[in-house]
Amino acid sequence: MRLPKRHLGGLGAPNITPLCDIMLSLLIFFMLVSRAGIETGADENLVLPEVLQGVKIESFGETVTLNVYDLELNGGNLVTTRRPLTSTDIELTAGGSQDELAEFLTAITNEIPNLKLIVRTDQTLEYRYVEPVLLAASQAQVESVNFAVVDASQGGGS
Amino acid sequence: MKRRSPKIGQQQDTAPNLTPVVNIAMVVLVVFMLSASFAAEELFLRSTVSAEAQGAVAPDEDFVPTEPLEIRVSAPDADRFIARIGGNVTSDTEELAAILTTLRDQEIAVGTEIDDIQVIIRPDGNVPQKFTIAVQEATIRAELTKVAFAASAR
Repeated sequence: MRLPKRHLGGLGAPNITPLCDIMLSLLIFFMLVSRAGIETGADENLVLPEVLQGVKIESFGETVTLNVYDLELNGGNLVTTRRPLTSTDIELTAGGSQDELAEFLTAITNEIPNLKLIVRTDQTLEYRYVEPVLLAASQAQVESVNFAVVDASQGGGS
Repeated sequence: MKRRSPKIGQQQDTAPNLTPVVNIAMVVLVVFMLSASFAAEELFLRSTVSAEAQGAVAPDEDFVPTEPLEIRVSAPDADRFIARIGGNVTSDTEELAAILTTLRDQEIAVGTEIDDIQVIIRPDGNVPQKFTIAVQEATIRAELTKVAFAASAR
């Protein structure tokens, strides 16, 4: 039996168009789901509380993330955050004689009236360390306070 | 310079060389795949702050405040909490959600809008955050959205 002759244009060059199509689709997908470039200053080492119900924040445009610790700083407790626009990490005092956090939040709410606060704490952190942060938020008239948690149904952890 | 002319019957390959494009796209794809994280996505519990430290704000003349549901939370040890609301005491999140649902239904029965039912969570200073969040989650299960934390200068 005679086999039909094949006309191989570039001798052995495979058609990579479908490969490119799939690869570019995957590339666009991962670019969209990736959070690269969105740096909020969140401390990923904190073990967040676990919940079964929570909401997602789609836009981090008008948010300030606060990491709250039980470490002392100038008579208050330590809060770290990232300053908007300049993207520099700063340490602030919450509570105590000089409430730097309240001043910081007041300055930001003058610029961003609808500021959303994201409070990140370790799940073992006692409420007395969170309370000065909430108080500072109240003084700065921040209406939306959001506690960062993890979905327990997905295994939890952070 | 002599140019090679294609022989008769031989096709000239005019397609651009895509190999560098594919190489770069593959590298970028692998970077994005490695940096993407799908496990344990972060969620948020929304609340407001009870501004009791700032003093009372003068309400509108027509405004009739409803009595808030106040949940007092204490932690006798590191492994359990006690929530007190009205005359009810519980250490279980499910039971707390059920109590809140009952209280919510009682409020609705007397004509209060569900959005007007204010819940104030008042934890003791030593209550770990996981219990505070568990209490807040119970309020969400009871479909109570107006939740505030009591914060006062100590």
